[in-house]
Amino acid sequence: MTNPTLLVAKHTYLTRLKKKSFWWMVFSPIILIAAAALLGYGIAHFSSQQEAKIAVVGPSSSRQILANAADQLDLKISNISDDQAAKTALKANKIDGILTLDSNQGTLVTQPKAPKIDKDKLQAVLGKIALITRAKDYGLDNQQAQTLLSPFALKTEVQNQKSQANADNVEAAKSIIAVAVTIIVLVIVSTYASLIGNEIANEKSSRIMETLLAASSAQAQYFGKLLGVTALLASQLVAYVVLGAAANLFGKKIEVINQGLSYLSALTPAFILYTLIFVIVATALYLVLAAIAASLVNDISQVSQAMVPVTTLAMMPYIVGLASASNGGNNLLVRIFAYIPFMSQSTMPSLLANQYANWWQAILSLLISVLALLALGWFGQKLYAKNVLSYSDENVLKQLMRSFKRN
Amino acid sequence: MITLSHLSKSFGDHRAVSDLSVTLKPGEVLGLIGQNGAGKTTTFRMILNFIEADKGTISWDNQPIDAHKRRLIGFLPEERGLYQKQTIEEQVVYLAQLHGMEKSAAKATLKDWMDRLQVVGNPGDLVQTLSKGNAQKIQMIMALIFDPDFVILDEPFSGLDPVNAGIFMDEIKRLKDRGAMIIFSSHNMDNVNQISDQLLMLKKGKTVLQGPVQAIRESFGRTRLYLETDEFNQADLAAMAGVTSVTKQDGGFLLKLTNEEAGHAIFDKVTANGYIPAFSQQPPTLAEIFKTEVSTND
Repeated sequence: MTNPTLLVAKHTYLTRLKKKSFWWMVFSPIILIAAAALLGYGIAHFSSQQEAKIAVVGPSSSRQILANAADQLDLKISNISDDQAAKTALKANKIDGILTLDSNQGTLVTQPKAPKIDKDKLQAVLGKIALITRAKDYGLDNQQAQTLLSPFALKTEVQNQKSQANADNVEAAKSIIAVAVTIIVLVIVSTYASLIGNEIANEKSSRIMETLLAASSAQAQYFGKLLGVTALLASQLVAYVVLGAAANLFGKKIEVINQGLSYLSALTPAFILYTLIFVIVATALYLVLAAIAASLVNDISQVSQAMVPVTTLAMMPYIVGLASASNGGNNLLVRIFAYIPFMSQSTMPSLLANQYANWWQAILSLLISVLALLALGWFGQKLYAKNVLSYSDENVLKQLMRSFKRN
Repeated sequence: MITLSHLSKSFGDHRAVSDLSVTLKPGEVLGLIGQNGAGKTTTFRMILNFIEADKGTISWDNQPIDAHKRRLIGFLPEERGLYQKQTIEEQVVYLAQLHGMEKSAAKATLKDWMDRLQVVGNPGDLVQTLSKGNAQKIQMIMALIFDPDFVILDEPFSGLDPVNAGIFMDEIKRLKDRGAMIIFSSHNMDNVNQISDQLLMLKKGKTVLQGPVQAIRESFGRTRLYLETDEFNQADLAAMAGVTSVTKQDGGFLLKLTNEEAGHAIFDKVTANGYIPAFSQQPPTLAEIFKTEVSTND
């Protein structure tokens, strides 16, 4: 390989790839999600140990139905059926409550410290008991009573031109996608803008820049670094795709993974690919801006100051994206944002998912961002070449504004 | 052949380089001298296309220096800088590749370079473990490892002890013998005198001296006279015609003369009674010429 731009890209890519910090960046969200899932599972598991134990005082048939539904109700049904014995046991804290059933009503008496009893579920079972009792009163046999109790099955589906997926998951995925893309883009932009900022500032402050420019050119350094960092981002996204595929193959038995996969399966591969490309293009746009800003710093301590305009700009689509998530983005402001470079990545995938925009509109939005990337990239190389060897004590933001005005 | 023709560069109202012209042939060494801010680094930056000249042209074998040719220039910048967290091999090989050298060739030759420049350390050592002098040697290796035909060295001897400065000078002579064209800047006039074929002195961007080193010195006349004698004391010598000052030096006397011809009469007087151990009439040293030029009003 002799092309200087590719050599710079390879050097940037491999240097970062070898660092532990990159792999921590890749796996920390997975670890975080896994930890949250584990915590949730732990809490649920712990809670499930805390079943209330109650005595049921009433007809034996009703007691039997409740005993059969005990698992569903997260209850333990005591063997005590006598009212007096139950009261004694409650006083002695041997049981958590007494459910007394009459013909038309039930009374639940519990201890103050008794584990929570789901009253809705209990009421539903009691309603079923009442229904069976009344059915018998009306002279219906068991089979007729069961037929009466069988629920009406409602299966909902959304008809799509290309895909037909489970409607519940599509609805869930739609609401998740708007929020997820918005948050993911902000996290990625902040992370990678800071990464390229540090890369350039480090070379400027260590004064190795002149050596590098003499061996290649400002253009090769600029485009090479952008390419290298974008390749890192692509690697991170590919890592997630690989992890997703692995989870699909091996993790289906785990409830949390299975639930997550069911949401993803509601999205078409074309949509996932479109969103990934959009995220990469949008991040590249922010990277160009970060590279221009970083070329103005004197040393590494000024990087955070230089990144302020970049992260501030990234906050705008974040706020709009989150604000519009509740209605799937169906308002004028969001529709306008969906075509503005730097903003569109947070709104257009959501509009597309909710079918407020069609594929032609989505591709047009992506195309506008790609054209903006090419234009800013070309403009940026001039600024970079001018700034990268100059060292000024002036505020970085002022320098940045003046750089844009000059050109 | 490198040709700089009527180069000028201004930054706002400040004229950094004014109408600079010089030609450098294969196997020639050009010493660029001048005070800080005289325009030396600006000249280098124009050659390397870091900044554009306002006027004038720069050519290599009568062709403009394009991006491809520029990669064949070896450059040691004044501001030293390396990737501190990388190994010596990683960054030397990376820079060599950027200059168009094969990775395997750079790896194979690195150890030889480190031995020749007497770098203390191994190719696998991290740069941050190197001393300042050794880091400077690594930068010199990065500038030269790909055998460039044109080399620019900005203050190569600054911060080096005499032994290491000697090692660098040997490398420059080796490059010259190979036929490379070398431009270097330095504030050490002894080094400039020893290795330069040509000299160019800038003062506030203007060329004030230019030409072969010895010819420049001779142009000031042989007005420095060192002699050793027991018959004459400092006062006797100071009283002689054409002598402006006398100072004791290394067991003898150093006389400054108003003109070269005054030396003849002094020689006759001090050797009237025969042998004296030393009588050497020389032009002023480069350091003296430098100081004279700097102190001269425009």
